[in-house]
Amino acid sequence: MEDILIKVENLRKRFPITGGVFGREVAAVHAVRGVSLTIAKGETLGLVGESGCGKSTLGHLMLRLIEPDEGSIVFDGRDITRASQGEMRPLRPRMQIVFQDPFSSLNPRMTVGDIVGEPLLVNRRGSPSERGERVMELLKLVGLGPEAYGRYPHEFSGGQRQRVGIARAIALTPSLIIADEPVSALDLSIRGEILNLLADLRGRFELTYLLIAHDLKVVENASDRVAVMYLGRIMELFPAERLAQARHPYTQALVSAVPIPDPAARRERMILKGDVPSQIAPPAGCPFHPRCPYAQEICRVEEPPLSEYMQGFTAACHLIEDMLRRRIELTAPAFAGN
Amino acid sequence: MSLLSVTDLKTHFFTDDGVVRAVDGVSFELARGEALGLVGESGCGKSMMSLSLMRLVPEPPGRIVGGRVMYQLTQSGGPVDLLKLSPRQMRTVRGRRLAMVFQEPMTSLNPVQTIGAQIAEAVRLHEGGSEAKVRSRVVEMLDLVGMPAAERRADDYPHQLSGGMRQRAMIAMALSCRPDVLIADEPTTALDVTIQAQILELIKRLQREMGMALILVTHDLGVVAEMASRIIVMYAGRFVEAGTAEEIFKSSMHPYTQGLLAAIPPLKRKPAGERFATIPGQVPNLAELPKGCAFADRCPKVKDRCMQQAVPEDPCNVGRLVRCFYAGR
Repeated sequence: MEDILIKVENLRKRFPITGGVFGREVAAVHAVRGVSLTIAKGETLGLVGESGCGKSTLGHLMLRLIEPDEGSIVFDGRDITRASQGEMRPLRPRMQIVFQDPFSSLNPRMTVGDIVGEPLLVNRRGSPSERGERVMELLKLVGLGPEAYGRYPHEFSGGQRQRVGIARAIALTPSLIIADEPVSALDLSIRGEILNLLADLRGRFELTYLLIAHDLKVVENASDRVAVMYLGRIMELFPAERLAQARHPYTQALVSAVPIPDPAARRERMILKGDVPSQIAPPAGCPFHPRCPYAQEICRVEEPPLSEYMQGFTAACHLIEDMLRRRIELTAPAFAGN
Repeated sequence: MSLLSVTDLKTHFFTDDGVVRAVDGVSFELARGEALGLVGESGCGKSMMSLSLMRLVPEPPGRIVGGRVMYQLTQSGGPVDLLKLSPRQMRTVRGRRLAMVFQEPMTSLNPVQTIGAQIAEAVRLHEGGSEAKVRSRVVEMLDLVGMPAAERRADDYPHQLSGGMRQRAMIAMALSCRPDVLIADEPTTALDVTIQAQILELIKRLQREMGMALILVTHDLGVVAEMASRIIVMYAGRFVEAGTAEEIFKSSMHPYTQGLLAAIPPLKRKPAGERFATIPGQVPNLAELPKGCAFADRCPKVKDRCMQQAVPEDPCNVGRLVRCFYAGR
């Protein structure tokens, strides 16, 4: 049994929407609805899903940037679910985050040197000159030259800014890094640079990653295992290299939706009808049933548990055995037709 | 006979930091019903090129400074240079013959008007007719683009619709007057991948049904492989390669195109230890383009000549072009 770095169980988080004269709760955004996951030391777990699936919220919960309504979070053997700010403080250096938008996640009024050095300053690490040296070292680690120190974010390209964000994240030698859509805002030809950098840093500093992305291809190639999330729940979990064997209908729809860069490729597309659903009024039963081409009565009423259907593959789907043996019929057209 | 024939189109921006040559001499042809993909990364000028065709370049600081956009306005007459039309004449073309769909539907749609009203505006301007007729066309269009409960949705405001529905509304607006050419500028980039698939299928179907030509502007090579029969690759304001989809994907000649293709995550997962392919460096400052080839500082095959001499387009064949001294060699 590998060493588990972080384990979350049955996490739930909702954000109330208040309204009316008395500011009562009139509705809620149910962002995370019962998620259980583990990430082993040194592993990269990819978390993929479309907008509104709760993946960013899950990342924030893991870092205890927000507190869960229910469930537990155990980090390196320590239960941090209800830890106070004071109790979290010594742990925070070990868990860091890299944000999606290299344009808005860096303070435009701070120099790169100050941005990267801020974690050191806040945590009182070393003297000013020691901090300066450490910042230089960090800039070098992420492939930026010493001249970056005194410059401002707007003087850099998106890829370079993302490197600054990464340098800041590794400043305190963390164990866990949540990379929340680290390459989505970058051009295709630059993405590889950042993904390579993250992989290099992982090897060098024994980092563990939660890689959050909406791009299945990025997640498939940069992760060891992949978790597919939909409307606040995990739909499927499997080894990244065996994506082709994943059988959950939603995973298959995601795979099918990825455009193939080959003009000669002809294939049956599984195009889902309808829209990505609302987190405010999630359906009963399986969250995916309204758009699932195979949905049956049980799917509409009963929430499917996450269970193992094949070595290394777990899925939340009542019909997963049938999906595996391909003995299932479509109950709704898989092709939207438009 | 081409529907649209662009020759040496140039759009420059006159800023305090210098002249930004956003579109720096591009030429291409578009046949009736053809699907053309224009591919490039951020800052290559592709969006500005689309806006130039529509004569929607923000002026100042931009201006179309050269070239011709010959358009087959009438069946019988000869082609007309759109750049020479008066603003009033251009207004009869824009939206009616050439229509455009933008990337961010939330910022491109008027937030204080219902989508029905916005679509009606285009219909009323170009085709007129009674209010009842206009309304009926609006609902017909929303139905056509697969908007659920079209009659009811017509009275919704953009913020009441999801991203996919807003994009459908924009497409309905663009197609409301049955244009000859649809320019779709990154129409699905802001959408979730399962919604993207829906919208792309929709555009493909409508293009077929309406016999419409399509210029699809995108950074996504996968999207362009699915949608376009011909592809043009753009870099730093210029076309660097053009060909059929097959030619571009199977036998590309320009190092930038090859770099882009290599950077696409492969169909099969790459082996665990292998690095992601990337193109080192970054796009040049369009206000300070180098003397020679704009791609020289990032090119794996660069030679001295590339840094010194401007590279002309080399039309290898009809419809095939590459801007490189050492293409295919």
